[in-house]
Amino acid sequence: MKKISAIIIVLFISVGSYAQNNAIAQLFDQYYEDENFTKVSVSSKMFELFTKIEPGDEDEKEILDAISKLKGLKVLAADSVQDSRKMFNEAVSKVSSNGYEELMEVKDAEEDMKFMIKEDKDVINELVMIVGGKRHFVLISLYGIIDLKNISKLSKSMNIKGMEYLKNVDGKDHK
Amino acid sequence: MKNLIILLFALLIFGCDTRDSITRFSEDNHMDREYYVYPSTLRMINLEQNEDFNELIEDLVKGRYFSIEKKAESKELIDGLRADLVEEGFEEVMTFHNSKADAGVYILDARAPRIAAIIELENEYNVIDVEGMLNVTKIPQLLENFDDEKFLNIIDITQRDKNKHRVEQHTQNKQPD
Repeated sequence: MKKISAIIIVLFISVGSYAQNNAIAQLFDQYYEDENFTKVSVSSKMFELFTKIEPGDEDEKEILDAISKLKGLKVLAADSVQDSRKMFNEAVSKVSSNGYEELMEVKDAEEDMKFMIKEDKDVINELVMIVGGKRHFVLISLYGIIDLKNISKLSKSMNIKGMEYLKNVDGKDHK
Repeated sequence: MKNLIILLFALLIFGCDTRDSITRFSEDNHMDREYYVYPSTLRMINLEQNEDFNELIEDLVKGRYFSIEKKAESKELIDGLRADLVEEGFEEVMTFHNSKADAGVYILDARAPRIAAIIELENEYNVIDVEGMLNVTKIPQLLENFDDEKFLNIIDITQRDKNKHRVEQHTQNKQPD
């Protein structure tokens, strides 16, 4: 009986984590055929390749260390959509109902920006950035082992606008 | 017996196509124009010798670019090239898709890594083949200070040369006998 309960618990956990991964996948699938959207997907192999670079100084070493721990990056972006706010709200509600914790929110006249993370044993293994503007919408999912201390440096190397806001968030202070 | 061994070796060497997928593709399909760039070329276009740019390209061995016009048969050719790259050991590491372009980036993880990209635009396919590595840690500084007027647009110059050549040819053809 104990064994069966354990199996059921493991099954529930697996289904739960599958559903979490599915929240981002669902959003990408939902807009995949929509010609207004740009879709980018980068695999871990791309990041692995950067470990071959010899760092010149401590700053470069930190960037390369952070890059080497990444497993993937997905971007979904549109710069001319009518219902971007609706998309933003829908994406935020889908992601937050799937076990992602809110890390930070930035609001101004132009756009709303939300950063959400998924943790496992104090290790951040996914960072999601959702942006909704007047006509634009962006969803970025960065996964692997994420070090928030280096994320803003990393975002500069990847030219990800918005992630510079994370420069003041320390890995220990986000809770 | 000696002649037979020589013949077998000769058959083995000539029978094996040792060219890489992109070279085979460009040679078999007779590309009319290919661009090759080397670190020296890139240092040359860096008019003001931007140090970050020079460091970005210091481990680059060679880059090659060509394009193929979209025709009925070109999709099949490009699909064949994609399959050949995978067979050669390249791995697809990045995809990009929007209404204007569809791109795939492939990496061959060798001692000198190779990066290949196939970019599908409205009227053409572009193929890029890079041997060596780009020092990505230099990108932040480069982006902060990048000014494209300080770089020579080498493709634009060669295209201008190509267009000039076309105009000259057209004028010559129109001249009365």
